[in-house]
Amino acid sequence: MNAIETTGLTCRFRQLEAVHSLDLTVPAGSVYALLGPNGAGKSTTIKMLMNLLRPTAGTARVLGVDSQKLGPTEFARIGYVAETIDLPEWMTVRQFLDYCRPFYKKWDVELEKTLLKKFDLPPERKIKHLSRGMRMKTLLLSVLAYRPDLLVLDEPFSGLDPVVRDDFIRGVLEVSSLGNWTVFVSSHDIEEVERLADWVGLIDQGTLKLAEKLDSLQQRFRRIEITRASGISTPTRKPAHWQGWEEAGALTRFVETRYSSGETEKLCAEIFPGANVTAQPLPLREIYLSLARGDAVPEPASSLR
Amino acid sequence: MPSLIWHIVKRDFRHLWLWLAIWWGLLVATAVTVAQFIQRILTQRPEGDLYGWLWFFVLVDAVVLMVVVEAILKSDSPIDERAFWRTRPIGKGRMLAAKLASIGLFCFVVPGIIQAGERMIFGFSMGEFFRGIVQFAIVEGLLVALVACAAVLYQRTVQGLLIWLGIFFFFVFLEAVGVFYLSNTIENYTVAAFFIGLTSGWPAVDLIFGTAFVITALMYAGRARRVGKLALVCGLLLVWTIGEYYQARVYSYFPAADSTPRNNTVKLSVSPRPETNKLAGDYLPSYYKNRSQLYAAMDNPTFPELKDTVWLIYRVLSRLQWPGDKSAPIDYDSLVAGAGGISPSQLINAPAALAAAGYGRLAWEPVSGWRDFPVTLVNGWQLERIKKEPAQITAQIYIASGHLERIAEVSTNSFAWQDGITNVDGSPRQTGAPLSSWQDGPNRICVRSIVLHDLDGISLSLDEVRPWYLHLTPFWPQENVRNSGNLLYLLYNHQTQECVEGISNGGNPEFDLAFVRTQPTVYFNFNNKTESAGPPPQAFADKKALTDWLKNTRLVELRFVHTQNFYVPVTMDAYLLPSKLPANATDVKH
Repeated sequence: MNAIETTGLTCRFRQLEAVHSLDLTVPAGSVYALLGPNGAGKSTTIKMLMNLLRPTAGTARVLGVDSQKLGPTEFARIGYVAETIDLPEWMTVRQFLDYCRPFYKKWDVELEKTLLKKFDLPPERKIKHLSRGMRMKTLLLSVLAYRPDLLVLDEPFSGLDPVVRDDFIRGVLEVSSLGNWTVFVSSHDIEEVERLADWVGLIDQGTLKLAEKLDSLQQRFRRIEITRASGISTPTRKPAHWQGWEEAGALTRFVETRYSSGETEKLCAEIFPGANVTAQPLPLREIYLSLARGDAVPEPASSLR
Repeated sequence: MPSLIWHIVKRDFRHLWLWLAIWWGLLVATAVTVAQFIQRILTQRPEGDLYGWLWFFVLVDAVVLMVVVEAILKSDSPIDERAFWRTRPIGKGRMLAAKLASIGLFCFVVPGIIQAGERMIFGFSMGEFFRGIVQFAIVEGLLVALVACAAVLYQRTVQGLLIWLGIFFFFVFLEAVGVFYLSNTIENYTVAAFFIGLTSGWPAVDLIFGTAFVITALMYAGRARRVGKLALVCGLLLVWTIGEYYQARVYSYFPAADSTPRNNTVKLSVSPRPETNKLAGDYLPSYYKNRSQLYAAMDNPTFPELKDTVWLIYRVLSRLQWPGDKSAPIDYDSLVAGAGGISPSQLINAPAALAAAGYGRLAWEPVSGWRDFPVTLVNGWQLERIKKEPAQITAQIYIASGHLERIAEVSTNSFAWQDGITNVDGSPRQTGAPLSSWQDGPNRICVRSIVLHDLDGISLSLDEVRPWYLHLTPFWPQENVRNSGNLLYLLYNHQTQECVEGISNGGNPEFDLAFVRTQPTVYFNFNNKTESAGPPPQAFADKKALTDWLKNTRLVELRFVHTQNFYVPVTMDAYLLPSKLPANATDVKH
């Protein structure tokens, strides 16, 4: 079963199409990272998923329910964390948690205490006096404590210092490991996402460019370095899935976007006879950059689901 | 899950407790001011600055109320994507219920309790209490609905209020277009008449604010899209405007005064006259524990002479201007009816009822149109919204006819206190400005401290009736009185000394009957062509003569006639209350 499923999801603000016919599938139990530059449509997508925005076209189902019909039953199973959420500034952290608790039958007081300690939050401090990171951690705590089936994080790392980010990610990871949680996180902080996600989607200008399992993606993207033998020149025609071509003397470097162990080396050997070929895994950041720059030809998102 | 609603209400209280404390404190302060206000009324002392304080408190009260309502709704806005509750497991309907509960508790229940305390101090009955609460809820509810609607429609309430203002002016524009059309198609329909109707129109206010409330509910319970809601508002206003046009077209204007005798009978109900003291007791406002306390407060004894008098109780329907008389200026107000037609109980009770039962109501007057205001009457009198009766004021006239001198004296003081000649004690009465200036009359009246003496001998200062005057509505040509065949008219002249003398000398054929001989200031005009009674005598020898005449006459017309063409058509239910009744005298009808 999929936790989130969208079909042709579109959101248009007058002339601007923020999200264009988005087909997205988030498998239950996965940690899905929706990556994209600022203004790519990540938050708009999430707002539609959370029934905060009405889609112009298309449908979205969240936990099996039409997103426009999400009600108390579904929201009891969804934890939504976004920087933009208005918290009651006048409350202390403890008052805020006290306020949230009655909304949820599954609220785990022990977990709340544990997280309060783990996140190092001052319970008697008013929210308006909290730092940005503490506010986010408070909000995260308020959703983790009831163990939601689906955790939706909208740009959770934005503006957080590394320590807080680490706390945040640890919190999510630790708690999500306690059950079969689905985490859907939008971000442009790739390093942090790489620690969390097992699925990655790339959205740009409202269009989903890629959606794939992270290990599959990392398996597919490799940096190839070829030390050409003397007398072997650069070929005039290269495969389209070889991107980011760089040359320095006898060294040729590019990104193979369809790496297949053995096959890629064989192809290289055909083009560069006698060359020394090495294939190295790429960090997600470089994959992202490669895709974001449009160098790479992504696999069709739908075919990779 | 009511507990969740209560949970949110408690959260709202913790959020707003400071504002609420300030507001409720203001209400208490206002109540104290009102208490002093009433005490001063009862003891006939000038009220000084209390009235100003009252207004100040109430204006501040309104501002704080708006802040509170806005904060309650903004804390869980239905339109703000950032609102915390929108992704939490609480339904829209439940959140609406929670918000209504918060507003109801903070803005109505607690203030109501504060008022209850105040009213208990003054000894109001439960009926009066609840009536006052309803008034409070209605008037305050209007403001709450407006602010609530603005707060839920837009992320910035000010923006919402401005939109409302825009809609209002759009509505005025629509009305203006209609008026232009009507003024060209209907005689006597004027732009001025339209605007007066507009500013004093409760239906329009009710419609706008009722719609505001509905929109608020829909914004929570339904899809938070405001375009449809605003379209709804405009649509309703359009319907209302068209209704106004239709109404203007349907109403015909009151015909010119017709002197033809009518065959309508006077309904005479004859029943034992209550003892004077009991009668006075009937008028006791509930904030008096007993009669002696009332008399002490009023500082006037009853008139012993009135004990054996015959009482005529007239039900008076008055209007400012004789509709058919186009020559008459229209800028009169109807205070003469208030003065002449208000019963002692009204005179006594209305100020207290208005002030004590509803200081908030007084306060909202500038918001909701102060001329058109629900009036709470006590002692079983029906709650009247003056404006609700088209072009009519219902009031009572009490006339003692035992001795004509007494009639003159009492009547003079009942009816002629503005431009009368003397006071009851014979001292010169200050003649005042024409009635048309009474629009801003309360201050003038206060300064003069003219004292009214009503039939039961309870002395009434104009300070006491002052709040009443604020709520009497001037009638305008477009607010027509239906020329009902059941209406009886008695011409009643309110003249200056010179005019009266002229009449007494037989110089004015318009006035046929003077009820008084020596200081005639009150005139009843019975048409001398009545079928059975014949011309009324110039004077009655005794009360029997008067009673007999009344039983056999057919009153054709009763008017208040001011020297400045102040006419008041009147319907009359006449009750004869003699001290010794004939055995078969009950409900005699002619």
